[in-house]
Amino acid sequence: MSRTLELVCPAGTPSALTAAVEAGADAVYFGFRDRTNARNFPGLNFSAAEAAQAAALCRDRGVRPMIAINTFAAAGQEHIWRQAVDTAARVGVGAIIVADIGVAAYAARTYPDLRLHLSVQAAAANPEAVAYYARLFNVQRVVLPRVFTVDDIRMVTASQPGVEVEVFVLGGLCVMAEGRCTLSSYATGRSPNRDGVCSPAEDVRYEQEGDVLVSRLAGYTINRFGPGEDAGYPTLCKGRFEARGRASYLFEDPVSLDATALLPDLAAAGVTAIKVEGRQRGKAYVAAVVGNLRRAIDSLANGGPPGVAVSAAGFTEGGRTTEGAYKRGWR
Amino acid sequence: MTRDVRLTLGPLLYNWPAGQRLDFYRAIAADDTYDAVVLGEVVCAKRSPFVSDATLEAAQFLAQAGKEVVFSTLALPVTPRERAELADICGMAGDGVAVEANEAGALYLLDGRPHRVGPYFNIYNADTLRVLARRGATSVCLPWELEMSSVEAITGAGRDLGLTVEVPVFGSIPLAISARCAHARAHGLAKDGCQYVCGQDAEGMAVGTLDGQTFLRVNGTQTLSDAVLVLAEEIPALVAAGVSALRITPEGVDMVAVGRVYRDLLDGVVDGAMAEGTLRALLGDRRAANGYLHGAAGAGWERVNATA
Amino acid sequence: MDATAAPFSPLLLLGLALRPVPGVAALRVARPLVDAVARRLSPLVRDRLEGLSGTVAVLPTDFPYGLMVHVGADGLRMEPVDVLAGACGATAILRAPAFMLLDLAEGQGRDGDASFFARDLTLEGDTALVMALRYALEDAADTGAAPFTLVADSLPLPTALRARLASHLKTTAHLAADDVRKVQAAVLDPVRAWRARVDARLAAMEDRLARAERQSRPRSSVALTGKETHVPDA
Repeated sequence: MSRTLELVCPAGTPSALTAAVEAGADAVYFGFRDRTNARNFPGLNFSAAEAAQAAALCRDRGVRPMIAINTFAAAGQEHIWRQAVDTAARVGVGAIIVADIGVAAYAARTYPDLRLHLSVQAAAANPEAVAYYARLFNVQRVVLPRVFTVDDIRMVTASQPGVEVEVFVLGGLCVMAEGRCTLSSYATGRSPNRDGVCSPAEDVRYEQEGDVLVSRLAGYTINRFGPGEDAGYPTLCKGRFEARGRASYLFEDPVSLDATALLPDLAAAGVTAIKVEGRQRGKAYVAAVVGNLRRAIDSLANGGPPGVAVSAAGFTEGGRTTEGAYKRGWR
Repeated sequence: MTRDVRLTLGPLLYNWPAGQRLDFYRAIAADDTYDAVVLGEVVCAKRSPFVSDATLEAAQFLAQAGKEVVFSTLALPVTPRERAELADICGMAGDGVAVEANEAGALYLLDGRPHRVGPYFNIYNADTLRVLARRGATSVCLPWELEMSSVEAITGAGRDLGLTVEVPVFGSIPLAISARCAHARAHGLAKDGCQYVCGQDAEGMAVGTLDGQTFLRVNGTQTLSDAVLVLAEEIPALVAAGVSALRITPEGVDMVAVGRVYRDLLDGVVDGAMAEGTLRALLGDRRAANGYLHGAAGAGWERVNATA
Repeated sequence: MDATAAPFSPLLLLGLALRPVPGVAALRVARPLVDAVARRLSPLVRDRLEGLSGTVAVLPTDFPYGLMVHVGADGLRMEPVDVLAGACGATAILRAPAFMLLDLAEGQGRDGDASFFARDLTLEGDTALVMALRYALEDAADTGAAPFTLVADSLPLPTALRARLASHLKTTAHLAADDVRKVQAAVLDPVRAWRARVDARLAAMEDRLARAERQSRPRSSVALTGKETHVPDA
């Protein structure tokens, strides 16, 4: 297989974007400093001016710039999302990544030549769903939910050849179907769907109780870490809870996704692009993981083994990784 | 208020055995409180083979009792078997059979024919509603997460389009769905080989924090709120906004009594405060919540202003 | 002198040497320098920190002095602080070895998340403010506001010397960091090995005791220890 996988990398700040480009990204994705994207953290993301500079830098370097406008537009405030689409078109991005049907409709009719990618937040979890968005809005690429196995991926690429497929291989793993999870807003009032945040930092509290580090979200205890035990961010679905009389990581261990070893299988299944999650991570993370994946992809294209993302191990939650739903036993 | 606002009994979320389901639906059929009943498996396709006969039987006697019957569909169909089940149900749509789509795959299969859209699909604004209406949606149930201003805006657009807009008002709140089964996982099993342990918990498995605070419930692959949605004092505002149906999700309490409270509220026989009191009593020690509609955390309880 | 040959690093020695100096005096000396650095940094981070306010106490675990970083409508202010007096009035407290803090400020090495996960860095209080500060500093570093550059630029020196000083400080700091790691390893590894042997002997004794208790008692409930057992998941 000589077709090279496209490497899609996150950028939370212009310096992270530069790091991604230097490390060998084929495409970078970023968002604006508001709730139109699903990493709406304070201090993160790009102003319109920074977006224009970033797009220009990317074009100079032959990298595809993409802007995530992947939250669901709030009724009565649709103009915020429309403006984001307008700005993205104006600065000359290679694609926008959308989830909301209203936003997709606006983009498709206003900028028919602007490439539309379907965000994982749209939860297109089967070939029929992909076909729906392709039919209505001519989406060119779909980012598949992290619930898919490699076989599921193959079903999509086989039955929807007109739509490219992009899958996550590294970073934080959503254990619930993306775009339709309101765990965060149940506890905190803010959600990834409307506000672009999951388990928002404003509601996070870490407290040392003696040797134990307690993490809380909106007052709910999400985890306790013993001395020396690797810690994690109190994302609700990665917490330790009590059920049936015992405490455990009920939904998912605080691990990160690392499907690097599966690159050959993903390529064989017809995947066009592989995606790194992590706009909220620092540029050190981006530089390390992107560089590693660049080598892995190039090695694969030259017929060699992909290797394991060794340096990623130092960057992961709990110090551990999983291949997630790509392996069926995860379910 | 008025009989124009209908009461819909939402789909049963829990894995009740066939006999229990039939008893439940017979009681619903024998009473005239609910105008429409939504049947079908929304959570996990593994349950379907055991309950589909009972579901079809219930559909028949509910229809004979004058109820409108709607078939809902899986919230997360991924595997070939799940997609096949989805295709079967969507294939039934038309000829007096109403089918409700909960995700885009069902919308594709129903595209161009009259259909409904359920609360698992993200309708957050009027633009989205307009697109769905153009593709054949005749009735939608809005997601649980919406606050009042969004409900008003979308409902207004619905009225312009001639669509029925329904809002969930009672019952556990579905917060998330996954390809992984946390219910099986809590028993040391996986979704393959799950032994249908979800059937052991008639109202879902309680999940608490390490401090012993009740928090969530797990129902197979679905995560629910531990608190029960109870909208009562908010109902007049919803009706005024043009909401034409209230969706009530079945719990393990007297659902006929719950329905009657809402009917009495709509008919002006009781006011919001009295309705809330009766509903809380029916819930026993389950906590009530109404935060989402008030733009707050879903688990919270917000007092409604007397002038609302 | 070749820094790598020295058994102890300059920073460690500096920290030790500062001990007899009354804290008040040391802080008084450092304050103008810290002020100058903050003034240079403030306009570079203002954009990303807009709308946020609070105080982050940055406290090295291996050096007696740290920083209070105030974020507010009037920009960024910093003041040196005695680590022991520490965190009065802070909305967030960040603790880590000094060189890790420097690495983080430069956007080098492991990122903050990874250090946090590995418990090398502890964070209490307002997480959002610390994250925003980190993003702002990371971006500012690209525009020449790296820590040593800022320090050098804030000293009353000819321009030509400043760049050389910044570079020299940076090299020394990184060599010193290596030294510290070597010293720690040399001192702590034997201690860790001894501790592991003691723990193993203790565990074996507990086992024997538990077995003896079970054999001698009639079958009734055995008291469990209060330790929470982390049950591995399937």
